[in-house]
Amino acid sequence: MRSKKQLSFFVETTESDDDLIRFTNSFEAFEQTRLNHEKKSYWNAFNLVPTQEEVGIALGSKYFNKVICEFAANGNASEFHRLYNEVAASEVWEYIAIRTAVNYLPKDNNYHEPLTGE
Amino acid sequence: MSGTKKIKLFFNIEGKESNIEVEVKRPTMAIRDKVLIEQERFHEELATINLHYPMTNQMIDKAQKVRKEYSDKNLEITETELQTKLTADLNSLSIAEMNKQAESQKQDIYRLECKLNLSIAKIIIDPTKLLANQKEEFATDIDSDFWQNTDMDEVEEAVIFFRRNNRI
Repeated sequence: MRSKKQLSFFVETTESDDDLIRFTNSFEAFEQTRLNHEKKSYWNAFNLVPTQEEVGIALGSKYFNKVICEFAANGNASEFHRLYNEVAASEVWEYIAIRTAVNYLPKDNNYHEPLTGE
Repeated sequence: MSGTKKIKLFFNIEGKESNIEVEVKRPTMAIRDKVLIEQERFHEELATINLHYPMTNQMIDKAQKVRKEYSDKNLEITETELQTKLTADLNSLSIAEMNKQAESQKQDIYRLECKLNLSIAKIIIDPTKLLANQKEEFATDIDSDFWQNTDMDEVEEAVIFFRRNNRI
């Protein structure tokens, strides 16, 4: 039975933001950057701030996401706030992927032609 | 670029129906974090509620143990036998009292779930698209007449859809 005041919701969506994040994370730019970092320091931007293990999922995730936004903002405070508060998470990741690709420097100077299979 | 995300709000106020289409905010990192904070608050409050009903929790635990004992021996236990057994163990409360407490606990949890869904709905919906009176009603507390007469199942459906879609 319908009540006096009733509110109904319908959500329409064409693409999942999470699918876009996964797609962006599969970019070769990230893989090559990881391969180039053979010796990693124990400390990094993600464990120098409170982590999910230390302070719980909600607060830990907040700091993780803020570090991601700071990477993308590259030290620009107003851009950092814009990315965190106004831009979809998938777009922040995409921005980092593009910047990583553009700034990519190979570790050795050898030029490797990708195999074509011919 | 993320796809269009919209929510349609159908108002039926004083018999006068109106509907507006409201965009859901973009799933920004801030929105994701706010949803997670509400989720964490929900779990904390749920734990507090459960602490208020130690007897029902004790009863549930004991009922599970008794059922397991019987199933381990390949025996079946009827609800009456189970209740008799539990009454013998927990003789401080009558079965009727326990059932009353269990019902009360269930209602408290349902109310808490509604509060969670409502909080998330308020986070994900852009209120700037609402009309002035709708905005006012939408911003009210869960105890308000407006939300008390709202179909919470549909609010929940919208919230679940948003969360599943954005893996929050």
